[in-house]
Amino acid sequence: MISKEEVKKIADLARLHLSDKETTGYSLDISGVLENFETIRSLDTTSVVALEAASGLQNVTREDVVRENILGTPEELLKKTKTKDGYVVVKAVFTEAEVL
Amino acid sequence: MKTPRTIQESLDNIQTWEPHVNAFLELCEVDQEGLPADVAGLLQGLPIAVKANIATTSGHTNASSKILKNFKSPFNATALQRLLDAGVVVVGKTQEDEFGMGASSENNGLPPQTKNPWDVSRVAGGSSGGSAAAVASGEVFMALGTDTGGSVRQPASFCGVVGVKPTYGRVSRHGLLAYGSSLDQAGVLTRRVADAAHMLEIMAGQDVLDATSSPERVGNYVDACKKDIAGLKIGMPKEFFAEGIDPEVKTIVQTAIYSLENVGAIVQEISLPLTPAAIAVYYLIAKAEASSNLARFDGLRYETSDTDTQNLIEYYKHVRGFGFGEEVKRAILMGTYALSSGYVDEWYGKASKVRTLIRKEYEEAFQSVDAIACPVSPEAAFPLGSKSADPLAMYLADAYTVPMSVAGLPAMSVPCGMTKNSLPVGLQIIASHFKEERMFSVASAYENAQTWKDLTPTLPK
Repeated sequence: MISKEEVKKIADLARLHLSDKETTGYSLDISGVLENFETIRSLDTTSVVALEAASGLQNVTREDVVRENILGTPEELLKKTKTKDGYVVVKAVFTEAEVL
Repeated sequence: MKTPRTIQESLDNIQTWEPHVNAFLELCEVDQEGLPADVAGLLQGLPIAVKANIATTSGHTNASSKILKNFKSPFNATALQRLLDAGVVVVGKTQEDEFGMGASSENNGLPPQTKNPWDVSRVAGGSSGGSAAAVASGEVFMALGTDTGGSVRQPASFCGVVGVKPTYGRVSRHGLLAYGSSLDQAGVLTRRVADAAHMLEIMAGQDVLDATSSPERVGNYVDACKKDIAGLKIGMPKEFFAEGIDPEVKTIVQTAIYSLENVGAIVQEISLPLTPAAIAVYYLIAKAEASSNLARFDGLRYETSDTDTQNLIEYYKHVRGFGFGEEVKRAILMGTYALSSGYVDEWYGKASKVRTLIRKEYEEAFQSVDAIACPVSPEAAFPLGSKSADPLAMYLADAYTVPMSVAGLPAMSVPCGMTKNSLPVGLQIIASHFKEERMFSVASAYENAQTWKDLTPTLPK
């Protein structure tokens, strides 16, 4: 039901490198799982509203006050990160060909 | 094996049991001299264990995943912080299925393999398998776990301990590494119902750091454990005793439910016809949410890897492809598929609508009964390796715990008997939203009336 090509496409969207063996395996077992899940399609959901807010709470607001370092200081949070001048260092976003 | 109430008792039991059960990913350094003296609470110095996907400033917070292997959290999860303020001490981080995805703790991304204290050739359950094994073997007084689709209740059932999943929104999710955000709740594992009630009472309540935490009043769970349940109506849903359940487990659980009549409860059969649909609804929603939640792990902010990739996209793919384990990648793929253009209405949308119907079905059931009782799992602990090659079989192991997760209800597992092979079986007790008090009353009344609570595993040879 989900071909190897589809798995490759999804993996690309999800930013996952997969080996050929993994691609074949996932194509087979995700197809098997979804086939089993087909049963819910026969349930009548006409005019049923999807349940999306599981808590039932609406419009949760708070005072617009800045709270400093709730999760730790920037230094603590960036301890494991390669930084330069306060910025996170990453690989090039564009290849040279794309820049030109 | 005595339940430890001091750090020393805990460390002694860990030394004896840990080589057999591998409940922990790591033990944290505990400074026994440095215990806060100004905390006079009842929980002063109580040794607890915390699942690896819950943020702690001691030890690592890695969800048993290679992608977070060396991550140390600069903050504590709110639920844990409240317990720390009451005096508990974290002795270690427990093993689990990576990011909470699994029913056996065999999907661990980091070693070792947790085993069931009652039979070390069997799984401890999952995903909070390490937490359940640690409590069952007396390594700690209590353990924190997380329950997305049964990850506290099912390992509690397999290891013969009490495991509680509160109502969605009852406990802050701040500091829980997210799996399915509309389903995740922190839960507690203990040997006795009243201890779980005590812990939950401390953890529960609104938190400014989690907008989905509820302002609803926190009940008096400890007092609820002393309440008489005479006259309460207990619903026994017939769909949980249909095909697929192990006959021995079925008999044990049915006997347990009818024994509630001895303490004055009224047991009546009910029907929840949407029960078989819950697995599909749960997995479609959980995996969709997981694919979104796990998108944040880019291998840049928590730990940078050296790769020979040329650009940022290739770096992401490499780091994520290597850092996530097999089941987590399957979840991301399935979730991305269920949310992708052209399929979203058919899968995620349909599942979210059926979710509404399942929730309604429970709301209607609670019009006529005060609590629902059923099995936690269709079987007792299964042998290590027996399901790990078949993802669908592993998903179906969650059939009796996911409906309550989908509906957001409080549910717990209480030990209710042993199989002929001396494996524990759990009884699941469910109440309506935010009625944890009622759930604890029933669980406690059941516990007081039977003898399973005094059984503990014997040390393997």
